[in-house]
Order: sequence, then C-alpha cells, then structure tokens
Amino acid sequence: MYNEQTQQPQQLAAQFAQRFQMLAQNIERIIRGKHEAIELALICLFSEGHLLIEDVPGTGKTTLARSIAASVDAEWRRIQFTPDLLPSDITGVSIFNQAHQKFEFHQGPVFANIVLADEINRASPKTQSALLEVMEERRVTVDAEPHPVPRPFLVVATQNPVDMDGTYPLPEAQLDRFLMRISVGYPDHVSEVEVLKGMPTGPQVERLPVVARASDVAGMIEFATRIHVADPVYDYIVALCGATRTNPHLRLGASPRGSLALLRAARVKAAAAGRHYVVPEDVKALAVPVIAHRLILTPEAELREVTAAHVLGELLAGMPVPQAA
Amino acid sequence: MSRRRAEPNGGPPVDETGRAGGPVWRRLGGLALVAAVTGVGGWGFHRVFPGTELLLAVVPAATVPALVAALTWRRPLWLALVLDLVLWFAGTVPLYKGIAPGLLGDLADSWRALLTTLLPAQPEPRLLVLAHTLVWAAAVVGAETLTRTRTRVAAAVPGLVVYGVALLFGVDGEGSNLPLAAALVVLIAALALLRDDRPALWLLAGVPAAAALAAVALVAGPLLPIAAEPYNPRDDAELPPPVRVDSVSPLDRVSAWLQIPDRDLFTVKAAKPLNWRLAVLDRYDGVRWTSGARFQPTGGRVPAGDWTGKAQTVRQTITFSGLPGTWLPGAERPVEVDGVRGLAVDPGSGALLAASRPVKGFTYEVTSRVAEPSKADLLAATPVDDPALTAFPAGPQEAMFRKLAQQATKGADVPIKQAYRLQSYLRTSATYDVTAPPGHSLKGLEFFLETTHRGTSEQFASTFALMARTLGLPSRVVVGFRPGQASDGIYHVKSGHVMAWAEIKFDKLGWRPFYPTPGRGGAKDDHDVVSSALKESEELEGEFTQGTVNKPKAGQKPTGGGGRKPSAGPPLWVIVPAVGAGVLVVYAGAAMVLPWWRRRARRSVTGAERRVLGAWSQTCDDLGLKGERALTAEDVVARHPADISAHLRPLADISNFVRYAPDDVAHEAADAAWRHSDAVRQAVRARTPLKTRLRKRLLLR
Repeated sequence: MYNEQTQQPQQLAAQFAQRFQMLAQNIERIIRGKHEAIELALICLFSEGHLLIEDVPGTGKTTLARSIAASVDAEWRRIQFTPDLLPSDITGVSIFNQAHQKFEFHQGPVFANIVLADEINRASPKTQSALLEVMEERRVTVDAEPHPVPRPFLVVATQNPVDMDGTYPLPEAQLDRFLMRISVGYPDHVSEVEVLKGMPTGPQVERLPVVARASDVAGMIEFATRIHVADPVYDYIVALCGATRTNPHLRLGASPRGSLALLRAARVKAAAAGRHYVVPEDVKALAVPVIAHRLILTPEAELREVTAAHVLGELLAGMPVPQAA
Repeated sequence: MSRRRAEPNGGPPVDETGRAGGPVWRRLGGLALVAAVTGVGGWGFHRVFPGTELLLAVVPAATVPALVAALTWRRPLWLALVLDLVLWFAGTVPLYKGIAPGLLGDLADSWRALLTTLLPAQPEPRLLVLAHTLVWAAAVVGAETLTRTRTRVAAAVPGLVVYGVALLFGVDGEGSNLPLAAALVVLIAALALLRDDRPALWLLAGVPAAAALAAVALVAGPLLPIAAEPYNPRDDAELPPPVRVDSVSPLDRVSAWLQIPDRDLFTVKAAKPLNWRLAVLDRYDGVRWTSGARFQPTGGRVPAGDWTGKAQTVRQTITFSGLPGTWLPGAERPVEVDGVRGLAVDPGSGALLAASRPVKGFTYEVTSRVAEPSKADLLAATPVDDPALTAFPAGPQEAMFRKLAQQATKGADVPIKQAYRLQSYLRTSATYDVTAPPGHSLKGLEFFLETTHRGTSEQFASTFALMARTLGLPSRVVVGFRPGQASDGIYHVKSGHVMAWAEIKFDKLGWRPFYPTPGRGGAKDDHDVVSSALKESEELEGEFTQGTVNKPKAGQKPTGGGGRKPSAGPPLWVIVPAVGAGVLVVYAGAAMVLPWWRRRARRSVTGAERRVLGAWSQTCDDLGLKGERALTAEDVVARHPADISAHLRPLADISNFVRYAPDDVAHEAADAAWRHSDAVRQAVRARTPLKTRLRKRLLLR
C-alpha cells in the first residue's frame, strides 16, 4: 500500500483477511448479529488457542462451535460434561484385543479438530483437568504412549454462569489455559427476528458450505505467527500486563502466558484486518477477552462490584500508546 | 568590399589591391584606437597617482609604439621591437629627469612599493615607471598585433589588461573608473567596426550603437556584484617591518626640552587650540618606550581611525622652526597631509614621518579629525583585547603597580571610570617638577611612585600607561606638545611646551587620551593656551571620580523625597501599562504565528516518516487531542463524525504503518498524509465557530 517492497506480505495479509471474512460471513449466516463473538472465536482458532464461552443457555454457544467446524471442513465432537463423566470418556481408553492379544487405544471424543466441551463446569475437577491437559499439550498419553490430537485443534468450552448448583467452577490456573473468555449474549431485536424468520427453512449448520480446508487453516495459522510486531508494541503489551500485577483492585494479575496469548491473538487480528503488522489497536481490542479471565479481583473490589473488564478498561485508558517505532 | 590574403612569407596580410593591412586610413585609425585604448587603460592608474604626473608616464607610452608600428609594419618584427625597447628607455628620461641607473631595480621593486603605499601615492619616478612600462608594453603588443594580424579586437586586449592591473592597484584610491570603462567599451566597439572591412558609411551606423553601449556600461557597471567589495591586493601585501625612525626617542627628549624651554620648535596656524602629537610609543621593554609603527608611504591620505561617530575637522598649517628629527607634529588623528614629499604614515597610530629631516621654514598642512564621543559612548566603551598593548615587563614592580592601580580605581564600575580615576590619582598624588631626574625605566618609575613623587610628564604618562596595563587596559604613550602661546591666530610652540600623555584603546572609540600630569600638563605660566582636549579631560575626570559625582553643583537645589533618587525614565504608571500592552501584543503575535510555524515545520521536516508523523501530530492538535496519549489512531477515528473520519482513517492507517510496519514509507504517502491532514483541518474549521477557534488559538491549544 505504501511501498512497493511491502507488496508481498501485504498481499498475503489481504488473502488472510479475505478468507477470514469469508469464514466469518459463513458462520454469520447461522449466528446472526454476533459478528464480534464470531471474530473472536476465529481469532482463537487461528491463534491455536481455546475459547471459553460463558453465557446463559440458548444463546448459540453450541451452534457457534458447530458452525466453525462446518465451515472449515473439520471434524468436530461434542462432549456434554456431567458430574459422572470420567476422564477416559474424553481422552479414550485402551481395550484388550483378544484377536491380536494386545491392548488397543480407542480414541475419545477429544480427538477432533473442534471439540465442544458443553457445560464444562458440570464435570468433576479430575475430568476437567484431563481436558485441560489435552488443551495445553495437544496430546493424550495413555499407558505411557502419546497420542497427538489433530491440527487445528480448538476447544470451545461453555459454562453457564447462572445455574451454579452442582457445578465445579474452573480454578484460575485452569482458566489461564483458555486464550479467551467471551460472552455471546442475546441477539438484538432485528437479529432475533431474522432468526425466527429463518426457522425452520433457513440455513442450518448441516447445510453450511465449506469455505476453508483444514490445510488452509494450518497455513493461515502459520502465516499469523509471522506478522511483524514492532518493539513499542511489545512494550505496550508487557506494560499492560505488568500494570495488572500492581493494580490495587487485583489480587492476581496477568501471567507471562497472558502476555503471550495477547500477542498471538493480536497477530491474528492484524492479519484479519489485512495488515502484516500489529498496531496498538489490536492489543487494545483484545485485552479484555484475552486478559480479563486471568485476573482475580480483591474481595474489596468484588464488594464494590468492580469487574476485571472494568479494571482493564481503566488501565488501557491511562496507558500511553507507543508513539514511534 | 576588398578581400584579404596572407603574405606567403608570413608578413602582414594584404588586400586584393596588394596594399598590406587594408586601406591606410583603416590601419592608421586602428593604431590610433589601440593607442587610445592603451592610454585609457593606463589612465586607470589615476586613483594611484591623482596628479598630472601620470600623463607624462602614460601618453608617450601609449602613442609612441603606435607610431613605431605605423612606420615599421612592412619591416621585420624584431626591428620594431628593438626600436620600441630603445624608445621605452628614452621615455623614462623625462620621468627621472635624466638617465636612471637603477631603472631595472626600480621596475622590479615598483609593484611591491605600490602595494605597500597608502593611496594616493607620491608621483615618484620609481613608482610611475611601473605604469609607464605596463602601458608601453601593452601599446607595443597591441599595435604590432593590429598591423601584423587580421584580428578585430585582439589588439585591444593588452590595453584592457593594463586597465585591470590599474584597477587592482587603485582599489583604495579615490575617484571612479566607470567613465574609463565606458570609454574602453566605445573604443573597442569602434575598433571592431573599423576592422570589419565594411564601407565607411557602415561605421557611422556604429556610432549610436557604441554610444548606447557606453551608456549601458556606465549604468550597469555599479550594479555588478564585484563593484560592492572589490579584491584589494594590499590586504595580502606584506608590510615593511617596524623601523627605528630616530636615534633618540622623543620621550627621552622631554626632560631636555624642559630644561631649555624657550627654544622655538614650530608654529601652528589653527582655529582651535589642540595638543600637537609628535610620536606614538606603544612598546615598553622595562627601560624605554619605543614605537612599533609600520610606516607606509603615502601621497597625503591617512587612513581613518576607529572612531566613526561625531567628530570635528580641524585644519592646521604647521611651519618648522627648529624641531629636530623626522617626526611631523599634527593634531589628534590626521586624515590628510599636504605639502610633504616622501611622507609616510603609520596606519595604526596616525603618526606622521618625513622621508628627510625638515629644514627650518618647511611648511605643510594637516587636516585632523577630532573625535567628540558622547558621555554615553565613553561609559559604554570596552577596552580592546590586545595582549601586546597590555604587556608588562617581567619584574617585581608589576605587583606594586597593580596594587596601586587597583587602589586608585577602587569602586569604578566601567573601564572609562577606571582610567579617569587613575588619571586623578596621579594628578593628586605626585607633583610636577621639571627638575626631577629624567628616565622612565621601571626602576625609575618605582622610585617616582614610592619615594620622590615628583616628575615630569615623562614619568606621569609612563606610569599611567603601565598602571593601566596592570588593569587590563591597553595603553601607549604619546609625546607631543601643548598648544603653545597664541599670537595673531598662530600658536608658537616652544620646547617648554613638550608634554607626554597616555592613551587607552577602546573598542569602536579608538585611542582615548588621558593627561595624568598635574598642573594642566605642566604649563608654567598663564600665557600658555590650554588645549580643549585637556579641559575636557579635566571635566570628565571630575565627573567620573568619586567625590565629585555626587557633589551638587553651585546653585543647584537638593532633590527632595528623603534621598529618593530622581527618576531618569518615564513614570511607573506609563511603564507598567506599556509593558503589559507589549506583552499582550507579543503573546497575541506568538499565538497567531506559533501554530502556523509549527505546522510549517512539521510539513517541511526531512524524511517521509517524520513528515507522516508530523501530519498525524498536527491533525491531533487540530482536533484538540493534544496530550491524550492513551488514544490509538482507531480511537481518534472513532471519536469523530463521518466527514472528518473519512480523511482521518486513511491518515491513521498511514501513521500506523509508519510507526509499526517494518517497511519504509514513500514520499507519496507523506504527501497523501498531509493532504488528509489539510482536509481534516478544513472540516474541523468548518465545524468550529470562529469564536471557539479564536479562543483556542489564543490559549495556544
């Protein structure tokens, strides 16, 4: 755009943005009026992170995950978390094959490109931790034998913040494994009317066209890691995360894993915008979904109904944007 | 039109009729023009030799070679050159009024002598011979070129060269060379026409053209840039070294003259009684004062001193009656001297020197410029920084001189007051006594200061100069005479009127005299006229020294108000509003100019990246976002309506690219950024009422 020498990375970024928008528009045919949530979910996908959707039932959490899987020609599985769910129900088990006289590993539902962990907080902590281990290490180890999960690998977990009876809230250390925590929220009036009009003959997840192959997604993930980040932007990210560690409203600030997550997500956002470089706007836009769930408020702040998003907003409002490269 | 052909043996060209050099009238006319060009070129020396003596050198030198060429053009060239050489030597006889045995030596030294002579130069043969020879050589080359070649104007080139040399030598001289330049243009144009072989009628058509050309040359000449600051070869010429001009220092004669005070030395006819300075001594070796003057010959002009302000011109006619030595007395700073052959001056001090000892009855005229600086000029004067003029001979006496000088000048806040307090100190602490032992060595002056407290102006002036040097004031000693006894408008100066005084050099003010000798410079009787300079010095001394300044003058009423100082300036009620109004005007001006200047500086900064960032900063300022450092470009865009953000967004993109992209930005992008910035500014102006804009501008936001 501004120099002939930048044509190639810019063109690649433009191609990335084009595919990203195609995916988003495809998903938006099912999930109406939730462009921001869709975009964040896709950012998670291309950042190789995992998404925690915290919302009330019936807002399209499951549909969002199914739509992503349908759009990228990827295998998806749904795991309904219940208190009696065992870790092996997720990861798989080794069963003795009498014909071959040996144990054979039978993959669990986690062996898919997109795994929907529905109501993750209803499972026991032991089962939760089994899933979180796969999320982090991207492999399942059974009988000392590792079994890698396919790539891309995106876990979309949901949890209901209202009905808390009989649930096991995710501890903060495990929340940190999720790249983002978002809320889909209710659709606005117009979007909800459109949803009603579209049923039952409107677009359904099963009918969504595939707009990207799994290999395309892998290429886009690879490209996103090469997006340029200027030194001042690094400083900006570190300064922001550092500020959360000293804020009086926060008992626990963002960890270096949080900084890394913010950087990865910002790179994908920049590419999704057709840029081959990250700008502070990318960081600023992703700070709340990427960082907020990693913060622990002080009891005083909770009493005052201060939220982590509110604290982050204040920090961003007072944080000088880097002025020069 | 006749056609020419070259002679087979290489001789002069001939026309078709067989007549060599074309028609006779053309050849003779051409020679006349060459002689004229050379003569006019030689007359360029008139700024060096303003008198008629130059004619004697130039006219024969320009014309005789032309005559020789006219007579010998059919003969071999060597014959003409030999004849020219003989006649050149003959031409020097009228200059020297006889045969000059050292002619070649004079010729070799003449250019150096001229470059070290202050113009106008004396019309001496040893100097005039240079102009004579140059013109002669140019005339020979020009005339022979004309008669032996078919070139049109090449014969005029030697004359032009002479003119150029004359210009260089005469840069310092008075008068103008422009008429000569115009004459040269006309003559060369005429020569070109004459040598063009066209009919005679054609030549007449050239007359108005040549006249127009001359007029143009006359008008355009002063406009040429070289006319503003011409190169002066004298600036690069090495001046002659200082020489001892007298076996006996004039300062050593002071005591002797005072012992025989009635000896007639010279008379001065002048409109004003002044001190007549004789010699200037600026070097002191601990034993005697000597002169470091570098005398240069001059025809009468003396370079002006440092003071360029108000001054009075005094003309004096001085007649020698018994003054020994070759120093020539004159008042203050001479600017012109008439009637002295072999005159030399020191441009630094203005001291005059005759080439030979003047005889009794020798008369000359001096025009002097008497500086009249105001009191403000004196108070503002600062001493020049010249280590040679503040040098003090090594010895134990320096500390004593310095201590006394510091005590004497205690409380003086400006250099001029220091000098006058020093003068007052010496005039009141010692006694004038003609019988005091002579000499001005350091030992003798120490004895004078500590023991005898008696001396003549020799000791007073020397002591003053040395004490001044310990204070960092550049000083020298001048030997001269008081005005003398007046009779019928003529001042008779006798040996008893001798006086030495000291001078201190101030920046721009030049040398300022001080008279530390008590009793009006040693005047012995009331018949002596006191010089105006001495009176003025005494008045200033009274004013600048402590005790006199605060004394109320007779008849003056004391000021009331319990010792409140009288206000010298306008009252406070005028000053305060005036200063306030001035501050407001300056502030308003700055408020109007600064934003414009800042925008211009940002736009014109070098480097595309810096220009883009300047455009973004400027736009943020225009939007009133100065200081909001937490806003990203996207935040800024989001804050503004569509008509502004339409230009703001591309500008934000370019700005982000410059800041965060790994690539360089092109100049076209910088231009585009400034176009968007201008558009945003226009949109903001359209949305902002005039009052708001004015308020923001005045608040420098």
